[in-house]
Amino acid sequence: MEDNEILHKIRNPETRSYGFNLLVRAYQKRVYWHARKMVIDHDDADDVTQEVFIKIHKSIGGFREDAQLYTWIYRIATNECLTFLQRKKRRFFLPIGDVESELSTKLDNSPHISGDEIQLKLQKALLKLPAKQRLVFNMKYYDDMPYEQISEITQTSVGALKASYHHAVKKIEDFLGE
Amino acid sequence: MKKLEEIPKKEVFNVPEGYFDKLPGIIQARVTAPDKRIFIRPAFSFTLRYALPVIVIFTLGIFWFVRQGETATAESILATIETEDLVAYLYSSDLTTDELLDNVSLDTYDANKIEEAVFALDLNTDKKYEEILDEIDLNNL
Repeated sequence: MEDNEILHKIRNPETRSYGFNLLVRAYQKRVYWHARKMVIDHDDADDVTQEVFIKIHKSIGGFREDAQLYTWIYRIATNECLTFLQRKKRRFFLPIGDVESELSTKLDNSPHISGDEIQLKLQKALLKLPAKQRLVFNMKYYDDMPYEQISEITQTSVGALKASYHHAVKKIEDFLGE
Repeated sequence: MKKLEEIPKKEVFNVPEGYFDKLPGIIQARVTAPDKRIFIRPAFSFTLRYALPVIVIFTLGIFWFVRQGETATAESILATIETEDLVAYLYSSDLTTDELLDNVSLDTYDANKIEEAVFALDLNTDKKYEEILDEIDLNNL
């Protein structure tokens, strides 16, 4: 179903609940995987995903159709991921390096993670990047998103995103070569 | 150096079975559940905002005032000072006996004790005044 059909159903009070259910079904996987790559742990990604859809439900009335629904949802998900990581750092008074090592430990120990050695090493290399740079890398590398769309989501210029991605790749390759 | 493009893109994460079938139902239940947050009426919260600091300040004030009263009594301060120190102070000060008696109120018990101590002294000796005073057990008065 097209986004505008889903929005039409959500705006109609009689089909609002059904329309929202359709929206969740249409976007749950993309939101979940976006969050999962950032927070690593399944339970944390589940929490973030639920919070994203609750926020969407609260503010969908104010959504303007001059932006794409897809971009708008991704922006909420991106903010929620960054807030989650910030909260984690603040709650345990952790410096950023310790959040990275905690997430790295989860990569080794959590259930629902598989993959060969080089894939896990790539994930650990990603954890060495600052959170925002990691987000940009994930959207470009894993989601094949065009820079223009990433620019809309992150409210950053295309030039800055290209530079950020280039630096991220270099840092990752340096780490993989160690 | 290992190039990023040489690494095959593979998903390392996976989810519990049936997770995406259950998730829409969980989210739907959460958004339709009644709001369980405690609702405080605006007028009450406005009153609470001002009343609470006043109550706290008032309580602290009473506590401080009571503590001040306790420490300000002359008896409680004197009780903490050794008798010898008091005597030494009185010797070194310019207070006359009359001034002292004006400021000290003795009851019958105190007067009898002093009288007994004085009668017990042997004054027909060649002892000096200070030596006689030393014989008086000041702590038992």
